[in-house]
Amino acid sequence: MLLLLSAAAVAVASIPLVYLAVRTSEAGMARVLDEVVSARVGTLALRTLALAAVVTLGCLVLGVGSAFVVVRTDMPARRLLGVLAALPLAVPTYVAAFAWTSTFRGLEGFWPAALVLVLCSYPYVFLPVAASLAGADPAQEEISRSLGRGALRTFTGVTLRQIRPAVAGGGLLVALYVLSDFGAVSIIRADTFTRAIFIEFDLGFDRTGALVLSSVLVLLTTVVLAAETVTRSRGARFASLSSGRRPPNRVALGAARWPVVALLVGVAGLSLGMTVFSLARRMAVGVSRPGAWSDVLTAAGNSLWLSLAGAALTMALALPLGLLTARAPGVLTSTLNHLSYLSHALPGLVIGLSLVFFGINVAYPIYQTTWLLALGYAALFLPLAVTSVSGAAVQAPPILEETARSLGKRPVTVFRTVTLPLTLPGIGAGAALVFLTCMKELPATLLLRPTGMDTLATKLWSNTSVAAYAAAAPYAALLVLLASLPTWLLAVRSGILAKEVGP
Amino acid sequence: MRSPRRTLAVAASLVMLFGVTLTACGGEDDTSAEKTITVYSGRSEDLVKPILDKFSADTGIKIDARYGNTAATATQLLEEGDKSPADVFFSQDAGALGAVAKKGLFAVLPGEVTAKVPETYRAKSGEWVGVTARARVLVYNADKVKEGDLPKSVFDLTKPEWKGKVGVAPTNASFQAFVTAITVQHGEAKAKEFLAGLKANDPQVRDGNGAILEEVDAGTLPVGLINHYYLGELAKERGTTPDALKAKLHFFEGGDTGALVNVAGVGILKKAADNADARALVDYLLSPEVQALFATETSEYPVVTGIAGPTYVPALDALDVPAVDLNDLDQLEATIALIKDSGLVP
Amino acid sequence: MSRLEITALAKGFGPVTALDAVDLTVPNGTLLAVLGPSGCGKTTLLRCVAGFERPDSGVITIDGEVVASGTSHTPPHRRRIAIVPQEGALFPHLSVRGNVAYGLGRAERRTSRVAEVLEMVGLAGYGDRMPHQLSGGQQQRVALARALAPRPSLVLLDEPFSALDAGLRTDLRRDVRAALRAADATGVLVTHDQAEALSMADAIAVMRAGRVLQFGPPADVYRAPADPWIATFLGEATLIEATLRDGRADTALGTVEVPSAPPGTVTALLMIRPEQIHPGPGPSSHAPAKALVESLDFYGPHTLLTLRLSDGTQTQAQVQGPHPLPIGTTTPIHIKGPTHTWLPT
Repeated sequence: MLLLLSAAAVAVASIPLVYLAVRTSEAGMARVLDEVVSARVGTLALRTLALAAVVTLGCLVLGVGSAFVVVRTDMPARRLLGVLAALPLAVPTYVAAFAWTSTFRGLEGFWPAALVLVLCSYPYVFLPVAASLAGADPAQEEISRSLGRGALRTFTGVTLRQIRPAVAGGGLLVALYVLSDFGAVSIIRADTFTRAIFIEFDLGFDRTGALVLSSVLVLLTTVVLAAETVTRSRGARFASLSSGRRPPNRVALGAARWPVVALLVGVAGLSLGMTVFSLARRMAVGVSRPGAWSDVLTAAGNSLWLSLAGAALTMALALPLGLLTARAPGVLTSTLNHLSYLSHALPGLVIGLSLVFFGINVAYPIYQTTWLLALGYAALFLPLAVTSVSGAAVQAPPILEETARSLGKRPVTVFRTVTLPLTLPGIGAGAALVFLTCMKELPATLLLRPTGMDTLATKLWSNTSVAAYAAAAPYAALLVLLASLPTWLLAVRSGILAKEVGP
Repeated sequence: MRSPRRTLAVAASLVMLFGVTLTACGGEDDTSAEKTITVYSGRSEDLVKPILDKFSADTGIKIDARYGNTAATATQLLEEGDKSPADVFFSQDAGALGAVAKKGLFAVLPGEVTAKVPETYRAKSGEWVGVTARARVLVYNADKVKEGDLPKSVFDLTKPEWKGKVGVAPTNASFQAFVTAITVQHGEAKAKEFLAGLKANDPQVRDGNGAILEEVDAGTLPVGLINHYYLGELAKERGTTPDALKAKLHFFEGGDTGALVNVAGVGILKKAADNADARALVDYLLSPEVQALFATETSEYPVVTGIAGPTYVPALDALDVPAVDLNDLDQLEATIALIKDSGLVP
Repeated sequence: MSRLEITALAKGFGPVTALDAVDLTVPNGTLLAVLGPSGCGKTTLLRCVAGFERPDSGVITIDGEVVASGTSHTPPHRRRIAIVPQEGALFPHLSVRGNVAYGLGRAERRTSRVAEVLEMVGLAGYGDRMPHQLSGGQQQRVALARALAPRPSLVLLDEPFSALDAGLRTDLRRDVRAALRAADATGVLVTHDQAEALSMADAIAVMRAGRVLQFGPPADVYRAPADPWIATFLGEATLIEATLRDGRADTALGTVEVPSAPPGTVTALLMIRPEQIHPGPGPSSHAPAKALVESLDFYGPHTLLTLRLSDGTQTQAQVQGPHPLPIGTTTPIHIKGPTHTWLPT
């Protein structure tokens, strides 16, 4: 049953793959070879992988580093800085990229794009790693220290190993995000696959070329996934039921504390401050106005509603697959899991078109309704949800459910009274992440939204496309503000805000 | 099998319940309301919405409008085929209209509609008709470039004195139409030569016309190839007049390809061939008052003869436009291959 | 209370046979210990009884009612069987009271039943604590209280003490046994700890590789194990091959009385427990065997001596209190009480 539902979820995520297969095969082998076998595709593939590698590395350094100083040191104002480190997640890359390019004219190419992507996506690493560091058993570190290993060797030899799943998971999300991102690369003009795909669409409305390139992107994704799988090792799958965990040890920073604070504030300044500054400046310089405030509020309402629908559908689809991943790991499960990741790295435009295809040919009654868009969001963001659900399912080991059943409770009752209460916080965090990602999504939203429905992201886009930057600013500001709420929720959930227990 | 499997059947039923709700909700958007037409707009909402709203107010015909960029919207139409909910496609350029027409998705417009527009600005087959015209121009910063130093022809931009000074947006449809126009006017070899020369001359590649204009106005770029109406939009955003900006427009003369005039236009989808409301919208867009509105609001040229254009540019019939038939601009594939091969785009 | 009967139970996981024709009977109000090394199938047996696994064939009845057979399967929540899992597995989001009341009906929750069972496990007044505020032993007691609260037909204990330290374990075993008796509960305890099985159970079933090798009262199984493997699994034992003649055997440990020996001369395997070996000359008229004291392990109430016999055989003797013999001395030894023998088949 669980397997069947998981397969259904993966089927949704596979709609884009089917679409690509159909359209690519229509193009004919000659055309495909013509597009694919070229120095241009080779260069693009290398550049894209290099960008993914550089950004992932940057995010790992920044994410793990800031998580460590926030959770494991006596840095002043660590809770505030912890929230600041999570907040860039609320800034869409196209907003950040726009902020950078409009502040520094002529900013373009590989390294600036890498910078903006790192600044926007390092929370993908920071949040899970901070949570993992807060929960890691300090006893292992103490043992390492007692065996004569220094602080640094203990960190690399013990701590880093404890938080490895979190680091790898976050890194994977970043890498896949870079593959699919269009905002930063198109605005900062870094030549990657996604940008080439968009350009291909722009150049004479050429679907075939763009879709063939997308298929190559899917192949690149399998490379990234394979790399992640190779480095993955099996660890304990379920949360320990034993009691009494001590709070983690804190490293005294001493004289280094203020430079560290300055560093974190600096990063927040580059990621958040730059965006806020640029939006404010745009608003001051321009005379275009966003029209009635009711328009802004309607767009905000639509953003909330669409993201809610998207998050709900995505979570519902992710639930069986996530539980399956946690409970019955195996070749079949991991294959299903990987399939769901493939669409995650495709640009939103391609996902959008594939759902247009699906809507027109299969699900016409829901074409251009909220639900087809929600399905699109599900196809895009299923992996985010699955990761959270399988993480949450670990909090409810099967033995608890079995015990509950032996006490005479029916399966439904057991689910309601044991499984749900234990997994809900984790599932909620997943929903928050999907919700905020849906809110930032643009290309698929443009193609799939119900006719006449505007969201903050689409309004932001339509205003900036006619250079009405001042009119766009309130939408951008509200988008970032609203996306901050689920981000805050995620920060709270990661445990970085926890008060110290005991001395 | 272990019991949790069945326990989680509950989760499963939640999913299915969701599915039921999903299909149940699907029907609610049925366009059963009378007098509603669906418009796909490749032109931005900011420009088009006020006009469409006015149309609804004047005629009582409700419009469901989808806004997107022209390429994505055209692609969506192609993907939807004859099942498209759209009645009317309002496009940013002739190329996209041509691509949709080529797929046979447009109905042929009645002669009395097409007759309102000069032959130059509509499809020969009558499948689409231009609504407004836009001219390709060279924008320059008056502080950086003296008027006398401006190039006589767009082909002069490949000369050494313009090295590193020219802003171009090769992914923009207007630029592509311009390159196609070179092929049509002078042959493919000339287009190839121009692109190669441009590429060798260290061009400043930007994402769109807006970005080029901003930089020219700010003085970080001396000149750039754009469409004329961007100047009007920038002035509007700055709360000033086009004359007050540092950026000035230079129209090429002597039938130079650099002075190509392209159109934004509309077509009616086949399923709405007999839809009086769709027809009413096209008539409305071509009515004298709306044509005049385009001139003041979007700084574009009206295509219906006898309506005055924007004030800050020469009149449309005063332009020395190249002898290029817009109907020939739908042969984009060759152009795109040229642009890709030139290395101006990744 | 109730009677559990298991007949010809079999269960396999793919190519692995976990249970192979298992027959067991647990009478009303008694505790059966299923003892065996890890991987012997004892946990699978427990899960089949609880209803978490479906047996491939065989029948399980509780009070004469079939709960599992090749064709029928009563789901776990209708079996009135409570389990006490390893490490307690308390619901972390519920208080002690919430945990204990979990299996009770709405009406019963308002009665004094929760307080009653908490009292029974010695945790009166702990109702408002959360599981993470309890020690390991206390968590186990709550898990037992939770299992006993709905007055189940059968209580299944799955290695419930394995995670606890030794001192705590002894106390808890006694208390659990007392609580089970007080509740007049029929129980099945799965364990790999022979001391636990011997001290708590009314009957022991020794399992290995999916089969029940021996089933009987603890003292019988200890004294007369069915085979040498069981003998050593249940405790220290010296196994010596010897020739039986006229009801006695001559061994390196001296001459041993074998009352059960058949007439004539046969070769047999003898089992001698450490507590049967005593230093010092025995009452027998025969010359005592000599042994070298190799090491001493003092446990307080008793001391374990490791001895080396003249033929090189190593054996162990358990004596009361501290022992005065220093390491390296040679001492005569003798054997008290009847020994168990296996005749060649």
